[in-house]
Amino acid sequence: MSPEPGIDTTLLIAAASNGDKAAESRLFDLLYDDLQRMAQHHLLRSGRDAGHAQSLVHEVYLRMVRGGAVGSADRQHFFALASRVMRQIVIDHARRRCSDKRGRGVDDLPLDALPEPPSPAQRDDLELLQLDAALGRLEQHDAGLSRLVELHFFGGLAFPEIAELLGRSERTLKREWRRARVLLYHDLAVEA
Amino acid sequence: MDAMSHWQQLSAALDALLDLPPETRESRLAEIAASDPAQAATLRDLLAAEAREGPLDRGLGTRVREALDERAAAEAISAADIGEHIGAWKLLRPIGRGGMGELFLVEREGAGFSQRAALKRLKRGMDSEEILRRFLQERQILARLNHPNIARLLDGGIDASGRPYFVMEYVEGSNIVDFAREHSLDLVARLRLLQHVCEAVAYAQQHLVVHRDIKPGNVLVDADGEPHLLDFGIAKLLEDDDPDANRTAVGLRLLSPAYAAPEQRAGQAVGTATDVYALGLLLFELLCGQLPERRDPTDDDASTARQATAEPRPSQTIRRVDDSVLRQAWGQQVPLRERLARRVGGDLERIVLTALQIEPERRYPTAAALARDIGHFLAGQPIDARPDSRGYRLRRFLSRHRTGVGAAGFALLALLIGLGTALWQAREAREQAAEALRQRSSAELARQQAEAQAQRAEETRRFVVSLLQSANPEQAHGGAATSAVDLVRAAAERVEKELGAVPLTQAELRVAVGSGLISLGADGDGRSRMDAGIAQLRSLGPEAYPALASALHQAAMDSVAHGRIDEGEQLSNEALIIFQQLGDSRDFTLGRIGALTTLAKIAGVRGDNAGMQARFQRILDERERLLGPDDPRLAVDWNNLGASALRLDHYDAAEHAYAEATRVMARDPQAPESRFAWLRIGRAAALTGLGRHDEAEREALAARDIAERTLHADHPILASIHAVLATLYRYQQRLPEAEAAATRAVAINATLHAPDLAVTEMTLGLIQLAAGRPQEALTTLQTAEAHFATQRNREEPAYWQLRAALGLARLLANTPQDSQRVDALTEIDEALGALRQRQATRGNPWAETLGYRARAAEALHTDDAPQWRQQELDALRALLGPTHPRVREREAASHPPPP
Repeated sequence: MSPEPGIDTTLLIAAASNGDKAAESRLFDLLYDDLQRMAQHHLLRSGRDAGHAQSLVHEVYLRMVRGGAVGSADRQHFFALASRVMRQIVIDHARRRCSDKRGRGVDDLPLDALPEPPSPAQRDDLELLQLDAALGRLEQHDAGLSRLVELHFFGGLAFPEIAELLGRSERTLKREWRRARVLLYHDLAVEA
Repeated sequence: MDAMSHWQQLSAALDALLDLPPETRESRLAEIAASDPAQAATLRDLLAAEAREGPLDRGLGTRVREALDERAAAEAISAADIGEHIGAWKLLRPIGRGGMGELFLVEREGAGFSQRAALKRLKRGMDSEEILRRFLQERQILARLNHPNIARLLDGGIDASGRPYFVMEYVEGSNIVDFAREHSLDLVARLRLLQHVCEAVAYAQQHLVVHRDIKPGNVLVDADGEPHLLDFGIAKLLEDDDPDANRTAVGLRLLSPAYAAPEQRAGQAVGTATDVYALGLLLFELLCGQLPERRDPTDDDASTARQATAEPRPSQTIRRVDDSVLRQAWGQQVPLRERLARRVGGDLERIVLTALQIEPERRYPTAAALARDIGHFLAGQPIDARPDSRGYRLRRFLSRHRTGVGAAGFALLALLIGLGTALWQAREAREQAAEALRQRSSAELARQQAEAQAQRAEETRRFVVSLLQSANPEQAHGGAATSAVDLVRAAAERVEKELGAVPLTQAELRVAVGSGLISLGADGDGRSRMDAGIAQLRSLGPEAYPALASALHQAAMDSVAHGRIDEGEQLSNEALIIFQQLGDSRDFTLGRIGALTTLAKIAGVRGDNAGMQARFQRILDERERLLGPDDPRLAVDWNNLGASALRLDHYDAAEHAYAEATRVMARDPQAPESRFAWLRIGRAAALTGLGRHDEAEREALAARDIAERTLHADHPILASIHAVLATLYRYQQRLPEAEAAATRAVAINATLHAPDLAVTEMTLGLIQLAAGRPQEALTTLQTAEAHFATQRNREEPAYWQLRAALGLARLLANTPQDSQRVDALTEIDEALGALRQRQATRGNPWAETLGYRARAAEALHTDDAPQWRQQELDALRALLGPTHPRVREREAASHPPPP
């Protein structure tokens, strides 16, 4: 099963990693479509959810490169992009649920003026949207930290995998994660 | 204090605090507070955040799946839209979905009519700037094309949800290959059909649109047999000056790799010839039922590849493919295989192969030229496509160089070259104008100059665009297609008549038009126009120097292409001198590199290896200055230098050069592994020369592994690798291995008609001779001699070595009779004389030839045999040093150790 017949994704990944914006946006499209198709497959195969994001991103990677040679810079770029796609998918979803339930965008939704407390699911959605916004701010100041959050949290990559991917020590990554977490939670608290 | 915006200061302090056990943090905070209370407060807040729990700790859980499921549902909304209206159009059913858009069959009801059409709408969530730009560009491109064989744009707008859409003609039909099969079209009908497609593409090209994604799926034929060209989704505007547009050019080459032209796969400049290639593939498929086999998708760097692999011939493919493939192509009425192969062979085959040339400049320049030649074939007239002439080969040889001056053949003739130059000038001029404005003090003069240049460039651009717009074939000749040459000649007349007031522009365009005519084969006319331009440039003073230098270099390449090597050298030297005076700016450095490259090639043509090496050295120096000493792009230069050092038997220098090439190449993480095969085999050859045989073998085998893993089995570099191994094993007296390697090298080179064929055959012959099989060796060496005569240069020392080997083989193969002895000795002595005359008495061919002379003397039992052996040994010592294994081996042979 190939993501889309006739497309050499290995080359696409390389081009995207080389700074080719068109290739990158094309790859983003492909990832978005492919992740969705695969999610449906998973749904049919099993009801398990744990580690879902991780297996998805990995599986998409394996399908896309199909044994082709991918340099380490390209691999990094791929997983960064795939994690970003996952973030986009999850956030789009949360945003839509919020606006569907309330009939308007989350931006108009003052937390303290809600007539009744939000359901846990709604709270999770809001929390995610806030996290996304905080992550956007973090990216302005420390792109490395925000990328790490994307890879680990949204992309579902475990620290040892990220360490191998980026060629850095697991210990360093965990320290960075601790910093990112502190900073994001602090930011969430301030913004709320 | 906002933690995010003071992050840089806080980060280190926070890290240090987090590393402390919680109980000691407070005292550290107190220390900080003493000097910076605000920072301490923020840090305290941050530390408090550590204990919090939030979304990062809960993970995403089921959300990913929910999100993806929901996204799938969102996609399904398309189907729910059925029956809805977008503008005046009612959605009937979805008919496809691309990466960015969805496609519906739609219907519009009017008074007494209903019209069906295809509506393309941007997919939900795909509204990034880049995608939007591409979507709108497709619409814009379709809007400017109005041709019966191009799906027409009917309408467009923004739907209720804010997504842009456009509506185009809906074509109900089959793709062209299926259509031909379903209707059992005969050869003539197929060619007519494809000719129509070419004309539609030609029309787009005249409107400066390159389709870039022509494939059967984008060429539908309706029930009336009319073809329709679809999907300009990744088309490119040739006049597009947007640098991002070029990026798109690179990125989207990936859409349909099976139909992509080599330059698309390589991410190089795309032009009208790119569509010609795709049309050639369509034609191939229509004839043979499949795409050409053995199309090499791997990296093939034009600067290092010895010989680009040509596409296989259609007639051979027809003879070879399965019946099922032919049925697939021809439907019910499969023509007799042999008859079809014969009809396709000859002129039609030449048309296909011309369209499918690897190098764009060797293809038909435009779809119109291809259409015209198909017309010639159908009318039984002589076709324009020519087999390679000597001049063409030389031209190709010259154009195979890196600086891109050879890109002259790209696109719609000189007009577009002029256009490209003008656009480039305009951009430069704009940048200069901006620069001038920044430097206020002496700004006024500079600004005026820059503006004058920008204006001139703009004038040129407008002029060229107006030329192209007036070049509508229907208008020009009452329906008959204008030939490309006519088109350029018409442009030339306008240059003469209308540009008298702007002599510099006129002169530049004279040169451009001349170069266009030359690339179209109107060599004489083109050259005289180019010369007129050059004479005018000479009269215009320093302002014209840059244009003059580049024109001189173009003329030089033309001279060499026509075999006027001396003239070419003189012109290149003049160009080089002017470029040198112009200073060290990037463009002039590039100009110098171009001229030096031509001079290096000229030296190569002449067999002047030392001259070639000197030029490659200068090119390397210039490029090092331009790029810095560690730039991976210098690998090509080191490689060239290594190759020329090898030819001079300067093994030390060669080894150094290849090692440097490998070093800089390794700095490029993106460098395709296959390139290392070139560098490692070069180093292996150098190490063989140095007598470091074990290292040489390791390198050669490593090169072979890389090449076999990353390239196709007949790649020219594999021939070189086997040839080096063969020579190495021959020196080591490992004759069976040597012969196996040489045989493989010969086989590959024979398939490729590579110029190295003669040399590899010679190696094989020498091995057979050493193995004591002179009769076989004689046959092999005779073939080598014949190939050497047609493919290479008799000035090369290797040629005379071959002649001597031939003499020796003749001697050993026959029962010794006096006349043959004399002939054989004469042949060898002649070879020695020729080498002496060419002052080639320091290289390997000289030493080896002395060895043949000695062997001949031994076979004839003449008294002078030991003297020849001594001479051979001296030559080898001088060449290789006293401790080289080959020297040791010869010493052992002539002085057998005491028993």
